[in-house]
Amino acid sequence: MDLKIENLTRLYGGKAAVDGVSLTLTPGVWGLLGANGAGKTTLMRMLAGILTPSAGRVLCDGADTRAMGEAWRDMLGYLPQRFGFYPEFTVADYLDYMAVLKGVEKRAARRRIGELCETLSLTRVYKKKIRRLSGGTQRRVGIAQALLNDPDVLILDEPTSGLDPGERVRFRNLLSEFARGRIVLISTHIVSDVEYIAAENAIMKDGRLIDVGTTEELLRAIDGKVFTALVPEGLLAQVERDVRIVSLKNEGGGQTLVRYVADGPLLRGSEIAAPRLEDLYLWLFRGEGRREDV
Amino acid sequence: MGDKEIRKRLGSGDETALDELVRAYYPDILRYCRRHTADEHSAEDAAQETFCKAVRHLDAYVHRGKFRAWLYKIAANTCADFWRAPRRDLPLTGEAYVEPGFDRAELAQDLDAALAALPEAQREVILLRYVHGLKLRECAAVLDIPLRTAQSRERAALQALRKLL
Amino acid sequence: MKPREIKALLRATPAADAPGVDEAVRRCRAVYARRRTLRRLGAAEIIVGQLRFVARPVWLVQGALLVVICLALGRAGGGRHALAMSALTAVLVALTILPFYGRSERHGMREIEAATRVSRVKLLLAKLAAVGVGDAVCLGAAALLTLRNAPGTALVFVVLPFALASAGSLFALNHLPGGAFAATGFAVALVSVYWAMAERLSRLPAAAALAACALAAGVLAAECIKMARDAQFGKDMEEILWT
Repeated sequence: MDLKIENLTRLYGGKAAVDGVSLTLTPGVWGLLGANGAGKTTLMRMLAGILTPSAGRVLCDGADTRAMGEAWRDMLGYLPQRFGFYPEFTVADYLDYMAVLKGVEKRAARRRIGELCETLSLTRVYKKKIRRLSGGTQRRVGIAQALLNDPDVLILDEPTSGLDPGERVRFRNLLSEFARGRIVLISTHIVSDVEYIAAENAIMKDGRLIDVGTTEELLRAIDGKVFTALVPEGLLAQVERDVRIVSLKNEGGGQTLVRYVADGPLLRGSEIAAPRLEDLYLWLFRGEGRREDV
Repeated sequence: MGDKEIRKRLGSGDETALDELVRAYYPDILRYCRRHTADEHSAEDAAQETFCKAVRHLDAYVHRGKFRAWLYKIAANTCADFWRAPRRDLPLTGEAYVEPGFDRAELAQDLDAALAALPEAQREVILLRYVHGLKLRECAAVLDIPLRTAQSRERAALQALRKLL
Repeated sequence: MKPREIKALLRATPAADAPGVDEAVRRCRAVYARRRTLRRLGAAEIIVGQLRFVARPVWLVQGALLVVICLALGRAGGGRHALAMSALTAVLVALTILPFYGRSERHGMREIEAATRVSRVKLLLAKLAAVGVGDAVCLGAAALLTLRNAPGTALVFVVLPFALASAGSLFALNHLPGGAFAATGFAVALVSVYWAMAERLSRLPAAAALAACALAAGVLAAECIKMARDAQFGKDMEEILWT
C-alpha cells in the first residue's frame, strides 16, 4: 500500500498554507516536523479528507482518495491537534458514539473498545465523564477513537501534547507496534517522539516540504555543525544572545554544558557532537525555543 | 462483463468472478504496461501490481461503475513508478509501443511508424481510445485531463495520422 | 487514409499473448481475501444509531419543557391569557433547538466527526430528527391541553407560533451574526404580539392561519436545506478550521 501526495496545495486568500507538497508514504511511522504555522495541520486535514485542496490530489494505491469517499474514510484514523467532547459523554459513550460514526459493527466495536481500553490504560476511567479526566487521559481517549476502525492509515496531529514522559514512551511503543503494515503519520514539535520510531521524516517550512528522508539522511545536513562546550555562568547571558543554543545542562561548579548549532565552533573548548533531530530542528527553525535541563 | 454483474457475483461470494475479471482485463493491461515500461519483465511486474492494487480497493470502485478507467489509471501510475525506480539509465526506445511476439502486416508497420511520430500526449489518447477501446470520457479520467482536452487531442492525432498514412 | 479506416486499423491490432496471467489471478485471490471490506451503512442505521447520543441532551431539555407545559396549561383554564400561554409554550418548544445549534463546534467535536464515514448531512439529519421527535411530543401535549381549554384554537395558538418561531430562529441562526440573540429577540416579539392580540387572533380564519403556517414551513424547509448543503460542502467548516 502506498499513499501518494501529489502537489497538494491549499490557499487562503492569497496565502498558501500548504504549497505544492509532494510525498509518497509507505507503511511505517512517518514524522512530520515543522514549526507552528508550517502547514502541518492543514496538510493532515487535507489527507483526512476534511479540507478540500486548492490543487493537487492524494492517491491511495493509485486511487484518488476524494473519489474513494467513504472507502477512504473507512481506512483512516484521525486525531486532530485540538479536539473536545460533548460534556455529557463518558469514555464509554464517546467510544460507542465514534464507533457508530465510523460504521463499526456493534459486536466488533465492543470487542475493539475493550482491547483499546486495555492497551491504553483506560479501563479504570471507562465509566467516567471525559471532561473530568486529565489532559493526558483525554488524549489517550482521542487516540483510542482513532484506532477504533482498525485503520490502515493513521494520521495524528501532535498526539503527545499533554502526555507525561512515561505516557509518551508507552505511546511510542504502541505506535511502533501498530505501524507494522500500516502507514502512520505523526506531526509533532517534540522531536524525540519520532526520533526513535519514525522510519522517515518530512520537514515542512512555510507550507513547503523542505526535506524528506531517514533520520540519518536528514542529519547529514548538519554533520559537523553541532557542538558542545562548557560555559561559566557569568558568560551564559552573552552566549544565549550570540549562539543558537539547542539545550543547556547545569553541570555544577558554576559551569553549564551548552549544546549549540553553528557552521563552525564559536565557543572556546567546543567539541563536535553527533547530531540529533533536535539539532536539525533548531538549525532549520531558529527561534522556536529550546530545551533547558537544570 | 459489466460492473454490475461483477458486483453481484462477488457480493454473493462467487470468487470465480474475480478470476474472470482478472483474465478479462489482463491482456489489455499487460499491453498497456509493455508500452509504458522499459522491458517485458517490468511490464509483467507492473501489470500484476496493478491488479493487486485494484483488487484491494475493488469494493470501492465496483460500486461506482468506473472500474475500467480506474484500472488503467492504476496501471498508468504503476508504470510511472517503474520508470522512477532505479532503472532510469535504460533508454526509452522510439519503438516502445511496438509489441514483441507477433507478426505485423506492412500496413500495420506503417501505422506503428505513424504512431511513433505523434506527440506522446496525442498518442496516449489514440491508443487508449482505439487500441484499448476506452470511451473518451474514460481516457480523460485515466490521463487526468478535461474531456475537452481529450477530444482535441484525439482530433489532432487523427488528423496527423491521416497526413502520415 | 480516411479517419474511419485509420480507426479500423487501430482497432484491429491483435491481442498479444499474456504471460503471467495465472500468477496474477493467484496473487489477486490472496489480496482479495485479505482486503478491507466496507460494511454497508444504511441511512436508518446511522440515524437510529446516533439518536441515543444526540437525543439525550435534547430530550432532557424538551422533557423539562413538557412538564412546564403540562403544569402551566393544565391549570390555565380558558380565556385570553390561557391562549397566550399556549403560544408561549409553543414558541419555547421551537427555541429548544437553540442550545443544540452548532453544538459540535462549541465542543470541539466537529473535526473528528468530519473525518468519519458518516457524512455531516446525515449527522445533521439525526440531530434534526431527535429535535423533531421531541418537538412533536411537546407540541402534541400543548395542543391537547389547549384544545381542552378552548376548542378550535390549536392551529392559531400552537401550530402557528411554533412554525413562525422555528422558521424565524433557524433563519436568524443561519444568517445573522449573534444568531441566538436575534432568534430570542424574534421569539420575544412574537410572544408579545400574541399576548397583546390574543382576542383578535382567536378570530383569525383557519385559511389565513394555514397559509401563514405554509409560508413558515417553506422558510423552515429552505433553512434546513441550506444547512444540509453547507454541511455537504463544508464551507463553514473550512472557515472555522482556518482560525
